[in-house]
Amino acid sequence: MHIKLIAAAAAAALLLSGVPQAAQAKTIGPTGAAIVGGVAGLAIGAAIADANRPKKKIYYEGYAPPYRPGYYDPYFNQAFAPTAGVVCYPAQRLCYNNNGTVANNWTRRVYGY
Amino acid sequence: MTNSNLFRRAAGAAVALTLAVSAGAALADDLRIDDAWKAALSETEGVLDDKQMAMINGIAYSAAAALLCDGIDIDPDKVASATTEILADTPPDLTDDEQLARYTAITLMLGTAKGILLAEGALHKAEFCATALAEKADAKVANFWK
Repeated sequence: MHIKLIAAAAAAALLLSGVPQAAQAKTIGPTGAAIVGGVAGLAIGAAIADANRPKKKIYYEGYAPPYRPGYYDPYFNQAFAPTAGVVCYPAQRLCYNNNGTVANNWTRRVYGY
Repeated sequence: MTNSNLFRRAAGAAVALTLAVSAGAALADDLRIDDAWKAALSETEGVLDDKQMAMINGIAYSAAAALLCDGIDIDPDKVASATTEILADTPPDLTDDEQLARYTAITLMLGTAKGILLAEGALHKAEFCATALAEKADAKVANFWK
């Protein structure tokens, strides 16, 4: 709510200043305009609000949920060992060594980047 | 079934058992902050594919190590290249608002992963940094460090 209020106040200040918003946006650049105009704030607010989970349209092409609705826990807890001493968590897309440190090299090998 | 087939099957079963036991041991005492990961990941499942999410984790891990460990610095060019690759690979026909929502979700996920990995690293900093420094010294392991 604070973000919206600040963004609204900033936008109002711009309007009151008599400078056309388009001209102001050109001066401060698109990122600055998005921030001052409240667009970026609204996007962050929506992203972190519980009631605003990502919309299906922004899912990657071909995404199919790997778990049934309400069954995220069993999926989250899945693990496998690509080699002795390393465990990978598919829901996290990250591998760890047995001593608890991140196995970055195995994460790269398993997930191919 | 020939003797060599029998041997191969027995050896395979032994390896599978070993790996299962290894995984079980790691699960029993690992330092992963499970609830934080679960809360964060359940919100963004589907926005990134496996490779993209692994890359985000790789960047976040590299950033956490650069903050916690002496002798490790982020390479901004490598991070920029990987991040651009992820951001540019968008689903088709997104509106500007949807592009912004996707960009925001990914940016927040990167920050969240970095924060959790910072916490995990800080819980066992000596081992965390020793592993990171060993990876940095290994020319065969690609990373996001200078």
